[in-house]
Amino acid sequence: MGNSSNMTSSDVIRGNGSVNVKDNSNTSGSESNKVNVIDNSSDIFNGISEDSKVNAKDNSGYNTTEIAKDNSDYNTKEIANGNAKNTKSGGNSNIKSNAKNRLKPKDLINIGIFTAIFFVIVFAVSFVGYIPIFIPALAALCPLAGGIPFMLLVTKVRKFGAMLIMIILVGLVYILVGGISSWILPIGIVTGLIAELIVKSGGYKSAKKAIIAYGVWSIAIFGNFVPAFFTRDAYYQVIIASGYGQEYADAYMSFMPDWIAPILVLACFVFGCLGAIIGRAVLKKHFVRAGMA
Amino acid sequence: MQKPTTPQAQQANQQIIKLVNVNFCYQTSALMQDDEAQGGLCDINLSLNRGECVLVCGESGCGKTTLTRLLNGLIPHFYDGFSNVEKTDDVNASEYLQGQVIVDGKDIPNTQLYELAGTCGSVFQNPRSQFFNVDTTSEIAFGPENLGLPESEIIVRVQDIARQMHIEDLLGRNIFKLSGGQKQKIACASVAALQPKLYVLDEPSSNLDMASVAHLKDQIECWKTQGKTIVVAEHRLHYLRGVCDRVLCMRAGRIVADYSWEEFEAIGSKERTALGLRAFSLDELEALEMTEDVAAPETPASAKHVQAKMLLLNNFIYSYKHSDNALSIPEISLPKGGVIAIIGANGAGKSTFARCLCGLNKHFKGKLTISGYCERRKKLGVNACASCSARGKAAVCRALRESSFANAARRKLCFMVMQDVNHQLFAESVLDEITLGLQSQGKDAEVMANEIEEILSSLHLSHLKDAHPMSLSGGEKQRVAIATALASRREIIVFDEPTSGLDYTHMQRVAQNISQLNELGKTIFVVTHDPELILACCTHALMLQCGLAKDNFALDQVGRHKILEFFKHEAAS
Amino acid sequence: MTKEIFSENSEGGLRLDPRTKLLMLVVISVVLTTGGYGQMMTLARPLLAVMPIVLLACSRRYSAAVICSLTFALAYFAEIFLLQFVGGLLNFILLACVGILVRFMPCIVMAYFLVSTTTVSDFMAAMRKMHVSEKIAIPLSVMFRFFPTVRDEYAAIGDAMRMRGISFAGGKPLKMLEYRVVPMMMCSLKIGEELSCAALTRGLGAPIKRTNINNIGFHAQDYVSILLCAISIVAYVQWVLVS
Repeated sequence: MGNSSNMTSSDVIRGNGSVNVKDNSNTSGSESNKVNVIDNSSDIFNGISEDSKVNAKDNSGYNTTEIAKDNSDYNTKEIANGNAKNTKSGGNSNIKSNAKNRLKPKDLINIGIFTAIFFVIVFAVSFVGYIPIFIPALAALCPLAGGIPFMLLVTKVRKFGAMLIMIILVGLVYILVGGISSWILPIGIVTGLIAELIVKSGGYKSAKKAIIAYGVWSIAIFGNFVPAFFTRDAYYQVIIASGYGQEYADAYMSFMPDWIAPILVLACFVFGCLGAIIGRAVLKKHFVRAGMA
Repeated sequence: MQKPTTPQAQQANQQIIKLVNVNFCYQTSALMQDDEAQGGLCDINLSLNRGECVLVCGESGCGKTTLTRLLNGLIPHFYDGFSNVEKTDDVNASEYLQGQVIVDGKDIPNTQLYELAGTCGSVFQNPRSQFFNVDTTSEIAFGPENLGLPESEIIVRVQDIARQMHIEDLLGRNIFKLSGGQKQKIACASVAALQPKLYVLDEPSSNLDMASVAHLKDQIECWKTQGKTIVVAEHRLHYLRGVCDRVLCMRAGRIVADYSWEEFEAIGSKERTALGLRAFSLDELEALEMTEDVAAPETPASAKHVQAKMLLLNNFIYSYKHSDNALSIPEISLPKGGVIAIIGANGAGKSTFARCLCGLNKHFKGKLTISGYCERRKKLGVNACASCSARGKAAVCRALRESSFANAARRKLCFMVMQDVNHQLFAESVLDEITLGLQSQGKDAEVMANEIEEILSSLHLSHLKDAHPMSLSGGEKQRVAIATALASRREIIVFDEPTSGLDYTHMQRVAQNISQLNELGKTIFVVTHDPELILACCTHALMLQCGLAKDNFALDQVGRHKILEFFKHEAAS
Repeated sequence: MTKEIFSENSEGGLRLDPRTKLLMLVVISVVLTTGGYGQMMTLARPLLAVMPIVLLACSRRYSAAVICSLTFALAYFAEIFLLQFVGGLLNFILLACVGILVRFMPCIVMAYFLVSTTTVSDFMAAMRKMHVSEKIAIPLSVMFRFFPTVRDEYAAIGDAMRMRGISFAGGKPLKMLEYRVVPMMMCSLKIGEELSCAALTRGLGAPIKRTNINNIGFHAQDYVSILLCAISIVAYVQWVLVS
């Protein structure tokens, strides 16, 4: 029985095989890989070093060592693996961009961890929202509190999709925990995509763009309030039906006239940017110095 | 696979691991808080045959863990790095890993991690952070599920493993509620479920007590009889006696020696300590005890303190929710100013005792009383203490003073250096960390600055004062924690497993630090599984069993013998 | 022997497919918190509130079931009777608490039921059957696996802060936040790295169809639950249309 089961798993394993029976072919193969790798790396490093000079002047870029590290990630791992499947030809730029943008399991685990931390922090802060009068304050507090884990995630996973996945997870959990916030998911998908595009346009290197992206991303928090504005009457009924009483409902609704909606959206954005700035400061003060970011 | 025909091919088939001219160097920010981050590997040439059981040992930071990561593919697929040779800023430093790494015929840098899952199984140091699932059965089935094996097959494998490892009673339980040793067993089972040919273990016994270590040893022997190849990177050598046939010693990223086990044991304790290694066996420790003069670590100072005052612990009875009494000591008396080792099997209540002592458990009603004679000299006309009636120039007040401390007060009296030091470092530089400890004492800036300088230099931390505490190595972080303990000026300091996972040199350093603290008059409690540490710096011992104080004795010659007997007994059971 | 292996799940005797549990959670959460009273809702509300408790009892988590029903009964009782006798600020606070309990408790109980009876593997298999990409399934599973760890780390850091006497950081709220959040994140990162290593070396993320030893699938109890959910949805939709 042991043998047969070994066959099953090793069939699977060999299927994607880079099992090499002949050492020679392998070494020559890997040598040509190395040659390719060197060419590509010089491109990227040159590109990066120019950018990093610019960034150094602005004082707003990420560390150059980080950039170097991440690009060696792209070069070596991705291409070495990519080349195992692709032919060893030129035209490496295609392979580069495909391999570069793919989220690997290691990144997915990181996203899960940071979202968990994000939740713990934001959840603790959002207890304020249980006192109905303070619900609008959530627009400020949640984005502010969530800046630190978000910036850390963006630093560690510089690939397309990290932020989008994060907001989807957040939206999903909010649906599960209390239907009022169900709108966070659809809004989040839109804002998440926009945020991704913003950060991508900066080549995943620009801190300014990351801050703005987080501001946009946080607009999803507005999903908490959508029922109050767009299904006004139903929401009114809900508050009364919750037992808060007629006068309370009236008072509450007068706090939230329609014209407040855009203000809340703006608040989400502004406090999001603030939260990201704080997050970046904390990153530099602690995580970069500790060698973790 | 065809049977290899030529002798060379046959030999190649026998070889499961082949490393040729391997050079590797970590990137600085790629690794977190790892002692090996500075090191890397240099000119490694190694070949292992199938069925061999190899121990890789050396000081902290020598490259053992890096070597294991080469074998299971984490380098280069998870950890990024540069080649050792090109450590310049030159852009051509693109080759992260130089040399050939072949495991079971697979070229590691060109093989994906999931492809290696069925070849190489890895067990890591920390049982807490290895499991992906919440219940044990899922955890064991995790690997095969990932590889898409059919369900019936997986169930059969889980049953087989449970039977082989005698863990049927652990199936279907919540992993978070298991003990460290049980968690490590589940980790081994989960790796064994993939039926790999090579097992790579990275300091697997670090957080385990003696009984669990014995189980681990049994497990490794079992794998050996199944014909698997095993590579263990370890500090605690004694449990691998009779299990490993070959020993590789490493230093600074190079393999400096390659012995068979018999040759290794024959090198003698002087050379062993020079290599930074721990004792081979408890018998060796015992032999050392007999031959040398018992170097009693009691300095004259501590001996004096020991006689003067006693700590009286009352009503130390505590139990966590949903469980029986974790700790049940109605009354016990311990010497103030001593270095007291707290020993016992896992679950005996050692950590509970330490936490209760420091006042960290709410709703705990126990009391600590310090009693003894007040020895302050009285100045003429000024009362040193209220109940004192003796007067005169050189009179010494000999009234009996008792001060009693409840929970909250004990928090100001005791300082705990936790097992995971990361939990107690908050500031952004070592200097700020120590300042944090001094702030509450309301001193002026200059006095504080002097004190900080003193503390830093006494612990050899001056050159690190601007570094972020989390960027330091494990041993350095521990010293920072000790520095904060010094800064707090508290009288009782509790160490929770300070030397798990430390090599000989670092263990000696910790022992020195503890003795230094003791010379300042502090009472030290050390919760530990490490006999070498106890023999190096402790003056007394408290033995706990099932929450009760089984024995409480001084570490004179008889006492030291008792300690060794205790650990031997633990290992045998 | 097979039964013993699955004791964690079948200790209950009632196993639901994770998709059913998810559906119930979504329905309970949306309908109870955004729906009002009147018409068919008077039927739907108690039904949805009781369902989680029944499920708990069926999976032999009796103590949890009893505690939840007592709390719920208490809150309901307070809402109907007590509030009339108390006035002013106390009324408001009591109202808020009771309102929250009544509305959110079934959600929380259902979420607890979901989390405690679904293994990570079941969850990932359900996600795959619903054609949710692995890119969402893996982070979601890791997230749930990680919550208890974050909680433990937070507690340990809290202990350390109390021990060193810096719980309140001299009254500076920003510093206090920094002391609590940053070490927690650093410890979580380290644990995350070790977790990744352990998972990746056991084949996580292989481009192979993942199997699941519990072999999730729909059975009679699932269909009954889905039917009840459907009734509730109809009631909710009707209420929305009417008001």
